[in-house]
Amino acid sequence: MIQSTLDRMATKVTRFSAVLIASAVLPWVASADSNTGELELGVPAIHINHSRTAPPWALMQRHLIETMDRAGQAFYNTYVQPDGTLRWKERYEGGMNSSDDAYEGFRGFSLHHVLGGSKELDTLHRHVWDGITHQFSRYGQIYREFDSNWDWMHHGEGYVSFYPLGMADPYDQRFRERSERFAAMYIGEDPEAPNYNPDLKLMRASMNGSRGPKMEWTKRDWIPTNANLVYYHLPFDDIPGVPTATGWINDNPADDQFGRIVKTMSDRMARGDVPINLTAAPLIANAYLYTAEAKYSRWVTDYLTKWTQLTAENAGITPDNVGLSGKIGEYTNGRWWGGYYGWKWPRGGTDIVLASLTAAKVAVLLTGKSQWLDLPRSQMGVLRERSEVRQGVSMVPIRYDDSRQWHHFVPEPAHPYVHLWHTSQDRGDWEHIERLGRLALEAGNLSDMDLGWAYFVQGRNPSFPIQALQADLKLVQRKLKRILNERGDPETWFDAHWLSLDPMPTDNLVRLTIGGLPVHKRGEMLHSYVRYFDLDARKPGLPQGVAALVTAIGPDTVEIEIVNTNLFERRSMIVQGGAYGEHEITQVTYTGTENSRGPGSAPGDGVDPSERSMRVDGRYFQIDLEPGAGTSVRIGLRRFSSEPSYAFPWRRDEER
Amino acid sequence: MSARSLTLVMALLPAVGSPQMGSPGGGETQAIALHPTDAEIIYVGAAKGLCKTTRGGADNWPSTGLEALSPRVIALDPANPDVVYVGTYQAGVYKSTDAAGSWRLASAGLTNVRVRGLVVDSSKPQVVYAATDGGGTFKSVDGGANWHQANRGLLDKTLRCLVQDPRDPDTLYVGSWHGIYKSTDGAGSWRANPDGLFDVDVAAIAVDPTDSNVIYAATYPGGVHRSGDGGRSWTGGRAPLLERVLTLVVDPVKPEHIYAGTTKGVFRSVDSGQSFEPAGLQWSNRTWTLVFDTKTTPPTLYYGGEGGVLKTTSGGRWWDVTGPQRP
Repeated sequence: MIQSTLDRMATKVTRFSAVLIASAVLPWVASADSNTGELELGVPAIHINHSRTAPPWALMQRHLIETMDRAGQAFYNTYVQPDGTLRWKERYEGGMNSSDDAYEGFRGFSLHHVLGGSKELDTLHRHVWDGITHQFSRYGQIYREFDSNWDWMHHGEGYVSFYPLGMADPYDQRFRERSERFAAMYIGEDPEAPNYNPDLKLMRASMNGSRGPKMEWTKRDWIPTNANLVYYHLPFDDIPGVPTATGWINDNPADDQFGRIVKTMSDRMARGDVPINLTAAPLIANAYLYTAEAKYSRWVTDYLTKWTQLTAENAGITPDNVGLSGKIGEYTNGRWWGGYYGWKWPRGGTDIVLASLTAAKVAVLLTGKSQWLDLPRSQMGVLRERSEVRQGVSMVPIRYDDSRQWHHFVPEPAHPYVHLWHTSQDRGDWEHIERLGRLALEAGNLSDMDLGWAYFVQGRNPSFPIQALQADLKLVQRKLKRILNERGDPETWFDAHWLSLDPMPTDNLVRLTIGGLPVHKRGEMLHSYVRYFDLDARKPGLPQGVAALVTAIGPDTVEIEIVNTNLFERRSMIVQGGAYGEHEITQVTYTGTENSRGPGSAPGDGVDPSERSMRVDGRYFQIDLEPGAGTSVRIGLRRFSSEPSYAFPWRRDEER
Repeated sequence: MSARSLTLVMALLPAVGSPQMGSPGGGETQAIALHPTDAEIIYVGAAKGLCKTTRGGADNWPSTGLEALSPRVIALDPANPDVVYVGTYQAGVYKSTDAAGSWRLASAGLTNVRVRGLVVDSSKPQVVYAATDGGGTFKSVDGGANWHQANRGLLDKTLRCLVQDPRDPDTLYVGSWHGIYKSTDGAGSWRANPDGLFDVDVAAIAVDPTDSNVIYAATYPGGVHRSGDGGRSWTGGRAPLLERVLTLVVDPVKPEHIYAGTTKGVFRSVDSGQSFEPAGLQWSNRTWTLVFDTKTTPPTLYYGGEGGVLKTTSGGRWWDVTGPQRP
């Protein structure tokens, strides 16, 4: 059976065969008998029968997954009403400040299901997504199921919960339709939302959404955000009559400083494009992963190309504001700084780096070409070239203006390099991780989880998995205690209430189980080395009782420990190359298969059989795990060589 | 890098969720109570619990507990400010005897746990009054250990607020959905005035600290009303405040100056409630509480609401933050 399956490796799909999938990408991958539901996958399979005592990380991982299943349910029961709306204010005058935090509070639900959590969480997530959409439509912030006008820092935060819905169930037509409709708002196909100028290949405004570009801002738009902006620097130093940021809260008719701040910002920041809009790239890629339509990938590369050109035009520094005519500094007296979420305000250039990194990773996913990483890499260089080592810490300036030039030095973050290296596997990118890790250790100030994980998959931080899982379990416990004790007044909660209590820490499960990058950094979509499917239950994620640990990643390999902690039941799973099948699996080398000892003999612990290898040359392979069996697999990859897609490895019997 | 060194990575994980700077956190500030002698010590009730600053807010309002309970009203024992009572949204009364170092439930006999007003008797600190949403008033004579209902004469038990006459501790006022009630015997009995503010939603009451006969009551609709005879008769202003008022306070130095916290910011009257003008924070969707600190010169007016805790010493012409300064 296994051998015959091996011979029928039918699913090799390269990105050059897009024509095969353009019209109906989802059902193409494999065949299934829709009458009986039996699978006929045609993927190579390995059979693991060597017993392995479940290591602590495996037991802890399963415990975390199952605890999160229940914690998510408790969170939902506490804060969501039967109609899917949140227990919250009757009225909400939130200005532009919209639904992002509400959606974001549930970002871990479908993603957890994708990793191996319960299907119920994904079902609940779809219900609450509808409920939040309805609720914030009633409040006035959402229109046509999408935020009316907001920036892509916040759009990005909100829609991190949207993309995993496609991974969890690409056959839900409602979300597929939404995905295409939302993307249309940004690629110039929606006349009611002309956010994008296809001639210039630029967005028309820094605030945008389902009502199109917002060309003018009012005080009302900035309530209640203004109360928090007191604690940032002023966006400009020359706002007439406004010497300090305390002006944000002062609107006495005799001295309306709040009004003057907003007027100045509106004049200089509202119109034209800003780099934070690059965070829209995952929304467009999301539509691509459902449809494989080239217009989406073309938009991503066009837009990224435009910002690359603007960067070149500005001597290698990405300008943070471009006018409606395409001119840099059109509303800021020719200055390349002063744009919204730009080099000066509110948080400085880190946002530019992260936005370009988010878009670049998507572009690599869609095209298979690593050149797109050059833009974020260059901007990290802009900061690095101006760095200073202070007390053993590399400090980079994240803000610029004419009077202070480069200023506001902060510790140079390692996580952008980790994300860059994860995608590029470039030695040069790794050396920056090494540099920052060394400095941080010498200064005794390591706090970057991405960094800790990067060292782990280089074989240099073996305690990371246990520590990470322990931290997550502790976090879930703490959040759960708070959730179960909730007796607060929903009328007084801020919109971040649910986000602050979210008991679904998926970051470490993403890192540990699939060798992926967490999606909490501003609007990213998931990128990973592998992904799993439960063949028996025909659902995404690890099968019940199975634990996985990615122990090493490289330019063309990933190594994984996989254990069936269930001592009574056999499990079958699919290992896919990449989160979206974008990595072609060339071969798999594995342990854990013992020769048969004849009828009645049990798999033994005695002899760990030697490694075996199997050619795959496709998107995925199958692992059958006997009860209590475990394996170490080393998977050969041709990264970014296949068409990415949300499609499951089997056809759905029923497509909704 | 050694595995041992990398344990630091875990130890220094940032807390999940970013607290709002300058705000007691997680939601709107509903209650403020000032220490009687130390201007830097302030207690506030917010979505993240009962917060206490000992640095005038510069420490970013650390929580002392009662998370998830939405502390709604706070009362300090004037004789011993280490004794703090907190009335919660729907979890009864909590008491601390160590300046919010620890809390215990103090709700025995409190058959309605939705507390909307809380007063410690200024002359008998063991006597505590609570106004509830649905259960009327409750009185404790043993420092909150036991409560009994004190509703004789109170027709409407859906109460919005409770204030004590600063000069006569046995005189209390409660605002209800159907008018204002007065007790002159320490909640032994209550009476409404059918010819006064009756059958109208009274959300806030303030007693002039310089003249106990002067009472202000905010109704909706109807604006702010004034009584100069201890609540027997009332008059509305010539230009009623149309915004919904949630809190009222009288300037202790200029008692003709009245401040109203509304769902559209703060308004000020300089003519004893005859008319009101904006006093800033018109962006605020909800002003839950206004409190004067008389320990400063001039008195500092504190705001608790959607914008956290803010303060002014200029009658609302200029408001300042109470959070940490920017780096």
